[in-house]
Amino acid sequence: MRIANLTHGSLFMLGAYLGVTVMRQWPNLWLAALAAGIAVALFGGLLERLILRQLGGNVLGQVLVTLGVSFIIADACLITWGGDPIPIPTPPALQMPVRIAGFIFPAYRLAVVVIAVVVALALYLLMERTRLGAMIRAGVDDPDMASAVGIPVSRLFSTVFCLGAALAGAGGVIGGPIMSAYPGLDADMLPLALIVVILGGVGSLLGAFVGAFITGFVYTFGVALLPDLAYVILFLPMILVIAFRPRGLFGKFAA
Amino acid sequence: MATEALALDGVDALYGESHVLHGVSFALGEGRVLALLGRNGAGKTTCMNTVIGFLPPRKGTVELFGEQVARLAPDVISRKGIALVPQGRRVFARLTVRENLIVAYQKRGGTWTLDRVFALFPRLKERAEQDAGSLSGGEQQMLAIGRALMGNPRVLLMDEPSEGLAPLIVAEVGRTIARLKGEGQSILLVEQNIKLAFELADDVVILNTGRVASSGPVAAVRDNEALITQHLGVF
Amino acid sequence: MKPLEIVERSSLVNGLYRELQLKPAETAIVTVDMHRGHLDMSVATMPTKPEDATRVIASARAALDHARRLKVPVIHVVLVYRRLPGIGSEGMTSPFWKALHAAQGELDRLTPGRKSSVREHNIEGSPGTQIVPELYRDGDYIINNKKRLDCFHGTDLRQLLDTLKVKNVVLMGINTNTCVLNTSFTAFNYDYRVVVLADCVASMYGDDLHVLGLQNVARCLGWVISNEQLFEKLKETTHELTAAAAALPLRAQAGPIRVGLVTVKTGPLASGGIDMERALVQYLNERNNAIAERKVELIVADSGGVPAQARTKIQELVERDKIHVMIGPLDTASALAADDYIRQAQLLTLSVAAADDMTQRKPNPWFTRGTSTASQCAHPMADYCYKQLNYRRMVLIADDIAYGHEMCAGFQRVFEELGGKVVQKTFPPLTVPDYGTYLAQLNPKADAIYLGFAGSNGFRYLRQFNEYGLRGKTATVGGMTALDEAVLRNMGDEALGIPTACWYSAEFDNPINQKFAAAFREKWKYDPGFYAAATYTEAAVLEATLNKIKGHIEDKPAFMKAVRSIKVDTCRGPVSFDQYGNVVGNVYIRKVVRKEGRLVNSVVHTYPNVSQFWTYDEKEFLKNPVYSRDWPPAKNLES
Repeated sequence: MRIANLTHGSLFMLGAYLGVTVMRQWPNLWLAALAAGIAVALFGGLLERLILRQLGGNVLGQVLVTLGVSFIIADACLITWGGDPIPIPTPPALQMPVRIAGFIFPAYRLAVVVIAVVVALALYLLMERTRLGAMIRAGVDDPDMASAVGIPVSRLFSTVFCLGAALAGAGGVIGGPIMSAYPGLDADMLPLALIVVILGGVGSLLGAFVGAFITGFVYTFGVALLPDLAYVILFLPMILVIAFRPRGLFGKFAA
Repeated sequence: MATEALALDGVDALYGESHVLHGVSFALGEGRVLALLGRNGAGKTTCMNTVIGFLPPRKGTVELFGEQVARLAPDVISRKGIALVPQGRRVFARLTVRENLIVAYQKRGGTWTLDRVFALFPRLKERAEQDAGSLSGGEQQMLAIGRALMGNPRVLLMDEPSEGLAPLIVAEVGRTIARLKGEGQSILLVEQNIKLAFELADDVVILNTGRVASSGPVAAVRDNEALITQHLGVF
Repeated sequence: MKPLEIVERSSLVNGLYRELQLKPAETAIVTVDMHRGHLDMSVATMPTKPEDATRVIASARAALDHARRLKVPVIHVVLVYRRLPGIGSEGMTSPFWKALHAAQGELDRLTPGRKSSVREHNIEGSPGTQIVPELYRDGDYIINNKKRLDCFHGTDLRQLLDTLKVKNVVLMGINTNTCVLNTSFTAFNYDYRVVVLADCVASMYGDDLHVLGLQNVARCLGWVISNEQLFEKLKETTHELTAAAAALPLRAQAGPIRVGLVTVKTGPLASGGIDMERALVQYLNERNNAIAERKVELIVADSGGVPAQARTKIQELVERDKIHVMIGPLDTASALAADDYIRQAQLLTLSVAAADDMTQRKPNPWFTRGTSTASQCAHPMADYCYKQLNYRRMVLIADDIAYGHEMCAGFQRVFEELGGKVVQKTFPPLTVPDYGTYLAQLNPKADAIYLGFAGSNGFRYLRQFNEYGLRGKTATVGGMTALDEAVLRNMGDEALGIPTACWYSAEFDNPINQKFAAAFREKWKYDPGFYAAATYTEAAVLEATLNKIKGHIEDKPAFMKAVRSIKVDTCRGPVSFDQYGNVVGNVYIRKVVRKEGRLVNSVVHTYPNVSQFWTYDEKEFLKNPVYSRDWPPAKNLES
């Protein structure tokens, strides 16, 4: 665990592209998200077993390798799906904008918010309320001791890595109707993920949740109120947090 | 001697290039308590780490009821029935007391359950929902013992269970060990507190600079003052 | 002695070159004394100049590797002397060499200023007798009993050549004026075709005699050619000549024109970059890879869209690949990054990038642009919006890069000078993943939105625009890349009816474009867009210019002068250039319609011969600051 994984943006993009392919055959977004999630999870598993596992706790090595792998994924996608942006259709039932309290919201975006909350809640319950979650946390806490009480730490971590990859892959498909699949999607997404994690704190689910909230709100309102600061606004909360609380809002380790 | 619960034969272990165990051989009889004694650095904790799999032996065999377990991964060794109460306790600080216990649960036809551990250590039950990191040293030691018991081990390794504890608590730990022994638990005990060790142990193995210096029933060692002075430097 | 001038015989030599034929099956390469005794300074007993050795070894290696690939046999002839009792080296039986040793000191023998010795030269078993290792491969032939200046004299070279059925003897080695020349004479006398590879010979006696050796061969007994010409000749006869190419009297003696394409084949800009290459390759294939009666070699470099890398790649193209002309780079930032280097290397550049000032206030004398500046199509679009669509209040939105700023500024200037108002101007970052925030803030009282996006951003903006239920509430119009064919092919009905301005449309109806677009679509299954048309246009500009200067691309000033005076019909219509090297050409207002099931940009209006200065006076225009985020100032913003 504690892997510095910079392929996350690429896994997101890979998921989006796989979703494109699935939907050409079976035009159902949710099915595509499921399929892409599984496929990307398998890919993540290979990545973890064949490459990251070999690097042990070598953080710098992991950063460089995952960065390299992300380039490889990006170009493989370019070769496979070409350089043009490919739209992912919005599910027909969610195509209409809805009006709430005088404001217009695209229905699909609301659906995405709901999905995000459900996934976050499910993750929280998994981690905090199940024996499996406790085993994962024990493994993060003291991997040697965890294995000495019979927890198959390495298999568990591979599974967690796959789960992370699966969420990234499925996320790519679910984000598809808003973002589309296009070369560079990875580079657009990765910074957001990193900012959220640094802001919320490494190793904290609650931190990631709060970090994502802050990032989303600051960005949206910041861009609206101070359009000239569009570039910085995203990084401002992160810089403040790093300056005053280097381990992030809820972090357990220094970022 | 009864059946051998745990037997080490010719075990060599190295940290990097430094040789810390040289052909260590001894056996723990089923249902007995074997105290592993020696000065600091004699290789006692290394023995424990070798048995649980943290430090796979370079040479030699480790058998659990006749089954070879040397060089297996710690989680595999644990599931074969060896549990460790480690030096320094190493409870999972950010898990609650209850979580510390349930993550270690293995049925293996044993009788230890969450309820039995709570019955053994009522203090843990009171603090079941607290983070383990917030417990006192004695409570953490109880938790470490309880966690090991949750695995229903066939052999229990206890590394310095009395270390750093108040005398009252030491006595309680001693009583617990005696009780476990009474239930037929095979225990390999590393203990600096020689008096406590002699009280609890059936057999004694003395290590000196990574080699077995002496071994035998506790009675034979307890009264051999020359031996004790030479290898343990106490009394 | 008074200096001699070498007699000018290039027309003789060029004429002879055309007659030269080298069938690989009838050709052998004979290397003359390519041994360490001449070429390895650490053991050489009769060394060439060190720099000659480096050059000769590198070139010879390239030539030999190429020859071996074509199964042309390689024969190494090496001089080796026995030591005879009472005499010493066999070399010392030559009265001249003996006298040389008797009369001269070591530094004053055959090699001016360097130590050398015939007496110690290439004695049997000494390291000097070894062939330079880089030049030997298994399967080569060795003849190592040469004793004097002629490779045939006393050896079985002739027998070997005849056994191999060789008619053409290609020579390389040391020294140009003695062993190589003498071997040339003998080969000539035996009626072989004699070729000497100029890149792979040198003389230890001095450059004057090297030149003498080459002149002697070229004007009296054979051919002196470069490696590249050798490869060309071996190739010409390797493949059957196509009828068309055979009919074309190529100006081959001048060598091919090397065109470097700097494009983007990886990363987010790759889509357009790949189209650039495809269209250019199509153009050249349609002309059998020859224009202005010269062959064209295309070398493609991928900048990844990274300016620093673009500059490095351009430098490589110039210094390693020796390109004559560059097409590209694709993006403005790369063009700006390479600006200095283009000036310094005087690299003829046919650019695709749109940066206004490269042909305005800071014109680069080697820079020509057949596409347009960023604002060149925005001016007429503003005119069209005001006059034809009767919009009075508009919102401008574009990527936050110079291209977006310049486009919007040009639009704003024309639109406001006509009487319209730009009520909102927004520049989201280039990589913004989500336009939701910007859409929520759109001024609801505008007549229309002008989209100045590039790449996939216009596409994403429009989709989200629809999602927010804005379609039908506010009209949209676009700049030259917002709804490019590359984007359009993945869009749906949300794009229908949107007008955009560009210097090209795949639907533009002239014979050149009909042929180009149809062939492109046939091959790649999609319509050519901005980027494909860009290189196809630049290639036409290149051809027209070269025709005007009779293919003589080496004369750079003449090229730049000619390019500013041509008038050529291209896939985008008639094209000419202003004094700054920027194009004057049509700008089309296109509207997205569905045709045969796919979306196309149908031309609805043409602004003919639009200059980068629009209708403004050039001098007045250039007095203003360059278009930017802040110029011209927006005076009518609301909210």
